[in-house]
Amino acid sequence: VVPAAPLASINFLIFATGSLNNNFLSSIVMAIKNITQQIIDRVAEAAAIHSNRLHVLPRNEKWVVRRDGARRVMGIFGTRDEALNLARLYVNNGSMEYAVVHDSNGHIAETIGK
Amino acid sequence: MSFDQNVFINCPFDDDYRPLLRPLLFTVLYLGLKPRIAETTSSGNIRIQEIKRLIGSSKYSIHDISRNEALNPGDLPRFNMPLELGIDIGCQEFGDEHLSRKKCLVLDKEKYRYQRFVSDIGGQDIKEHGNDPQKLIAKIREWFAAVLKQHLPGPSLIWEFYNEFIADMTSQLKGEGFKDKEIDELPFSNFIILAQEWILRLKKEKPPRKEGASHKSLKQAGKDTKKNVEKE
Repeated sequence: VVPAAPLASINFLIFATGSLNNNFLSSIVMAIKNITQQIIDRVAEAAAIHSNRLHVLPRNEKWVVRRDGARRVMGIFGTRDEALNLARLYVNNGSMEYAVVHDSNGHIAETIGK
Repeated sequence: MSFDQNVFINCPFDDDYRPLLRPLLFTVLYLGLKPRIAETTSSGNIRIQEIKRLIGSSKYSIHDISRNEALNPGDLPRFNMPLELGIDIGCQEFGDEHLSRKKCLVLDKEKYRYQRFVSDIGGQDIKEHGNDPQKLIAKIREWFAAVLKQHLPGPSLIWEFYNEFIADMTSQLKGEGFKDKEIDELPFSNFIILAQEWILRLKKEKPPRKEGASHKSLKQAGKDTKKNVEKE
């Protein structure tokens, strides 16, 4: 596990200041950055995986159920409970592995079936 | 980094604003642009120099003045955001010729609230987000569609992918041993890197949707073109 605070300052230096001239500092940055890069790669890799995961999320004062990476939503509902019912149906019958339920800020409020 | 792609972000970096800043950063990245932030709490002199450097190297700016209010009764409001907005406007007015092409978006939580404390910015592009991440995404996307003169993906699509990214990021970081609190408080500089790489991979792997522009076309974002007219 890479401590978040050192990563923050290192990544900020890389992003905000562009590059460092000091060789000693640069070597430290690279050592930590390599570890960070693995995490970055793993998170990025997840974007390419079309998992059997559903998302239940608010959208324009409605609730939608959407499969990971899908072009269209599976359903639009007036209430959160109605959307959850559809997600539970898919999870319980085994056609979907689990569902992630998001709140109005995009945070993960709960997961269903995991 | 390219001046034409850089977007200076002027906003609070505290927990209260995090639910808005994350989707703000994601939207800027999704549109193919590069957010530039001054997240560190270095000494005043160093910080203002860094802010000036970031403003001078960014064609676009997003200034959120919604937190310009006293945190507690009797406190004075924080004025860093209006100060940085003023520097940006000054840079556009008095800087080198290429800086006159700068464009800035001012965000507030309520329409016309700015008139009560900084009414002289009336001529700027000012939009309200109501502290709602979805509305914030829609306003930012709408503004960039106008200034870039490009057909951009719909705000619902960006919001959906933002949620998908949060799920992926949370899942993967938990797998790396990060605790919930560490993920919630992930520095924005880290968030930017993770979101940027995730979006790059998404655009490479997933086909475009009908309701929005193709991912390929988004690569053109940041380059001014007048060929495409927004259809939404």
